[in-house]
Amino acid sequence: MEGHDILGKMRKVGAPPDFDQRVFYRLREARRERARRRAVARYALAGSAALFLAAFLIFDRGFMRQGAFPWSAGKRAAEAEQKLETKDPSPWRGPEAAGRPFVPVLETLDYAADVRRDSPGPRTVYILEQVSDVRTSGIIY
Amino acid sequence: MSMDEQELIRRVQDGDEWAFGRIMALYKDRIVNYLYHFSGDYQKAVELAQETFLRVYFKAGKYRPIGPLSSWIYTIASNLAKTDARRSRRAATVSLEDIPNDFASGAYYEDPVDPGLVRNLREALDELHPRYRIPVVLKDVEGFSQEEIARIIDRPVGTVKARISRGRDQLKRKLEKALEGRVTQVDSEVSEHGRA
Repeated sequence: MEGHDILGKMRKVGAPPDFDQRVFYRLREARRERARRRAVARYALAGSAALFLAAFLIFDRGFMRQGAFPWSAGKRAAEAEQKLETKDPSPWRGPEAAGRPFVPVLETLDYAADVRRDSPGPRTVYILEQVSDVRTSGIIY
Repeated sequence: MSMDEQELIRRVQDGDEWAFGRIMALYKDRIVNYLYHFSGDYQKAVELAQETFLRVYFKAGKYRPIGPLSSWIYTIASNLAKTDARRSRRAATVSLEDIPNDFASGAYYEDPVDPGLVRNLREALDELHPRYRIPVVLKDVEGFSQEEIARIIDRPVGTVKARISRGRDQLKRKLEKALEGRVTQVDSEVSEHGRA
C-alpha cells in the first residue's frame, strides 16, 4: 500500500468547539495591541521630533556664539587674536576699532598655480588636437 | 458558494465580524486538519489556525479575487506553518490517539486505518521536508488539484507535480523502512518467545 493512499484515509480532525470564541478574543486583543502600538509610535515620533528640535536649537546657538565651547576652533582663534593684539596693537583690531569702518578683504587662492610652481619636473605642454569624424584633411599642425 | 465567499470577504474588508465568523465556520475544520497533518501537533495546529484567521481578518484588504478564497486562506496557513517549522524543530507533539474524538465536526471523521501504520506514516510525514510535505498534504489529505496547489504555494504546476512525486517517493521509502523494522522486531519477539 502506498503512503499517499493511506494519507487520504487517515483520521481527520476538526477545530475545537471554542475555536471561534478564542479567535474573536484574540482578535479583540490584537486590535487593542495595534491601537496601543499606534499610540506609542505616535508619541515616539513626536518625542524624537521634539528632541531633534531641542538639539538643533542648543547646538545652533552654541555655534553662533563663537568660543562657547573650549574645544571649538572659534575659541582658539579668539585666543590667538588676543595674543596678536597684545604683541602688535593695531588700530584695526581691538576695542578701539569698534567705531571705525570695517572693510572685509577677500583674497582668492589659486591652488593650481601653487601646485604648478612647486612641481619639480619639467612643465608639461599640452597640444590640443582637433578630432573630427567627418574630415581629417583640414587639420593643420 | 464562490460568489458568497467573495461577498463575505468583501464585507470582512469593511470590518464586518459576522462575515468573518461565516468564513471561519466554513474553513476552520479544514485548516486545523491541514495544519495538523503538516505539523503533527494538534495544539500547534489549532494555534496556527487561529493565527491564520487573524491574518485573514487583518489582511483581508490585500486579498484580490483573482483566485478562490480557499487558496488564499491555505496560502496564509502554509506560510505560517513553514515559518513555524523553521522556528521550532518540533518540541512536544500530541498524538492523534491522545485527542478526544468529541468534535462537533462529526462529518469530518473517517475510520482510522491500522494505528501502527498511521504512526509510521505520521513519523515519515514529519521527516519530510516542508517543501514536499505541503504539496503532498494538500494533494493527498485535502484533495486539492495540482493547479490549486500551484496557486497556493505560488509555484508552477510542473514544480508542484515534481514535488508531489518526490514527496510520495520519499514517504514510500520511509514507510517501507519503518515496516521492515516492525517485521524484524516482531520476528525477533516470536523467536524469543519460541525459545522460552
